[in-house]
Amino acid sequence: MLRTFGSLVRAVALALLVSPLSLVAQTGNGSDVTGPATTGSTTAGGAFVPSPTAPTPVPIPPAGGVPGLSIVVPAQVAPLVTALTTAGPLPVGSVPGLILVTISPEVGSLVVQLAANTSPTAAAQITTSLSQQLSVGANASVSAAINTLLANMGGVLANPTPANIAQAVNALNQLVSGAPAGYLASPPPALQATLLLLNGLAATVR
Amino acid sequence: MTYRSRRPGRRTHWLLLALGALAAQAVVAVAARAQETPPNLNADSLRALYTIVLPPGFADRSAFSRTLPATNASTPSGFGAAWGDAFMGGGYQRNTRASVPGGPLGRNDGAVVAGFGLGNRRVLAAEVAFTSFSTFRSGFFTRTGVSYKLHRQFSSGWGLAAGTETAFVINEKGDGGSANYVALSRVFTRSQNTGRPGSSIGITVGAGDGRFRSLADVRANRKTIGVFGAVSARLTDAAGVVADWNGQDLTLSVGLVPFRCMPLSITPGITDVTRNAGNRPRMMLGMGMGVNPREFRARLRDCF
Repeated sequence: MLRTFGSLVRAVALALLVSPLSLVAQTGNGSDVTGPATTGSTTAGGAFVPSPTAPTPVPIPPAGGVPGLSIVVPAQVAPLVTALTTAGPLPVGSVPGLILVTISPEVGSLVVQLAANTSPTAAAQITTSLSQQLSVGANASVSAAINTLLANMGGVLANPTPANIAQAVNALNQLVSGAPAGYLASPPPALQATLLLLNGLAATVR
Repeated sequence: MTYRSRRPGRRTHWLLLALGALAAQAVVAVAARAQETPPNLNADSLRALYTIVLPPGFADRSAFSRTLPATNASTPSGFGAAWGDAFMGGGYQRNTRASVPGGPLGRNDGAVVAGFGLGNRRVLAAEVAFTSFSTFRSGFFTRTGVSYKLHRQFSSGWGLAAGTETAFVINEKGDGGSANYVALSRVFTRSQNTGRPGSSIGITVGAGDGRFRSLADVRANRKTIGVFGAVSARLTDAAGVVADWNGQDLTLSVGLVPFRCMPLSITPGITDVTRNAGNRPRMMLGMGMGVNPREFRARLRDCF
């Protein structure tokens, strides 16, 4: 930050050298400069001030054979996405009372890449992860709910409109309502990562 | 008769110690399991934990949050336009400051501005603004100034800028001169609920020459540096308040963003509040819009 400050100061100094009016004094009542600031974007209010929904680039490391890349997410969920895809601390308080299982960066990256619509293979890998703790043959409806969830998760981070977020959330709620208690008591990490991500996205609209 | 001691023997002593250790371990184990096993972990509780409840009408809401109300009124901020951004606006003063100390206030006055951004605000961006200091009396663009600002936004939410107001004049000179400055800004988001008072707090601190000098230094033509700053607070989703010191006097303003779908900012205020520079407080008004055209089209589609 200090180096950037120095660069900016040097830029201003250069401007002083080339500006023919750098030494022109304010004259009279200075009416041009004693009212609202009209020499820049100040009159536009907070249009260019950081906001929770401002697009923010986040690097995603490679995972499960899927190459790493950079994606753009709403600023408010950028810390969550970074935490899901690295070994960083997860926001436990974002879903009060939720006892977090260990979400590896690989699983987090797969969920994020599915949501960012950047990996065609992420869905298959997450299907395996979400289905692994279901009893074989006893949960056909839950398996169908998993497929619906993955279909609605695809791209929700790339295009986080309220309508898309609501569709993905409804699919998650459908899975949760039909899943056996044992599945939820010891959930797959991909399910918790999905819950955290959708909860974070929903909060950007509230 | 031989008196025998009633104190426990060595064997009993060690037995009691072992029992105590076992009891302590049992207590710790129970406590640990209590921490690991949340209470009321039945099926309904688990489903409640994993279910996301959306408020009514969620799916129909706009994808875009309302633009933040103004964080500055008479001072520059550390944030600015970048590549793809454009802005336009104007300022109005009901009376200009007195031409002589203690004299009568001047007439009303206004200016209009338009500009655009270049570069990446997370690396280095440049904002360029064209201001017509003449409007109706002299005709638009008979006194035109060109200003610029170099700025960078950091991932932590800080914005740092350095610029020159009215670096160049295209035609007739105005009475404001130019001013070089540096500004550091930050907006603190204290609550995601933008309807709550104080959900966002903005601060700006800066220094510059030109109009940011004290009025005494301006009149004496002393080449000094003045300090400016601003504090803003969002009160509701559509309104906030701003107090800024421009190096000469204090301005108190209200920032309004009346429309969710259109990033129009309206900032009425009172300047020269402390009479440190002017001899009377004066009413002023700023109004403008800052947009990224692609986002603006999507915003309009989303709202209509």
